Amino acid sequence: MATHEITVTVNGTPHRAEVESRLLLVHFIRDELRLTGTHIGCDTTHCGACTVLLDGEPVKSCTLLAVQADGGSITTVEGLARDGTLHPIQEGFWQEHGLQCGYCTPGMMMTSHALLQRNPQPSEEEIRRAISGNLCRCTGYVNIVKAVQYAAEKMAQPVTTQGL
Amino acid sequence: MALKTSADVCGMGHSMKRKEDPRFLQGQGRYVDDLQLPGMLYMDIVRSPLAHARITAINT
Repeated sequence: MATHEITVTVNGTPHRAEVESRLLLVHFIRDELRLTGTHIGCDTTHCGACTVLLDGEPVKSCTLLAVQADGGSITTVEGLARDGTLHPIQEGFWQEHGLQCGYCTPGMMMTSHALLQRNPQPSEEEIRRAISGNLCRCTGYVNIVKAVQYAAEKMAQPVTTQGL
Repeated sequence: MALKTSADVCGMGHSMKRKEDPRFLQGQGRYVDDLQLPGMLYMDIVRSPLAHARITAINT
């Protein structure tokens, strides 16, 4: 099996690793780096549980090979909070009851994070469109939309308490 | 009249923040797929394409 040396920055920390050509990015994150907050839901790109940010863009890490992330910068759910302070998106999900089992939550938050970066004041329609690639099977989307709206509002306030 | 406890007491008439959420929100939940035990193996189930057959050999 051919292997490749890759350098990937994950949540600000550079990692150099020797990976097999076939290794999926999600397995690199979960099994090699042991960052198990990124979940595997379907393995078929449908559910979005494995969503991480690659150079700021949300990607489904079960659909990328680890080698494709070479030289890139990845943010996972573990990189959202800063020094024990929850990111406004995390706060929003907590406050608005945007989760129950929590399985879709990391992917949902990473997608929302990318949305708010490019569109800080999204409409409900825009939020729903943005998270259309992330499936939730227990909480439903009403509270998740509220959570993203909460975060948008919080992030629009002057920078005093916000994490990122 | 709606029964409601005062804001500092919380409880009745207030929505409660869940205690388990912070770990889920920070990727610290512990699901079965996250467990790593010594000597742990992965299993795949290979189903027979035949409805009724005798296994004479298994190639691994």
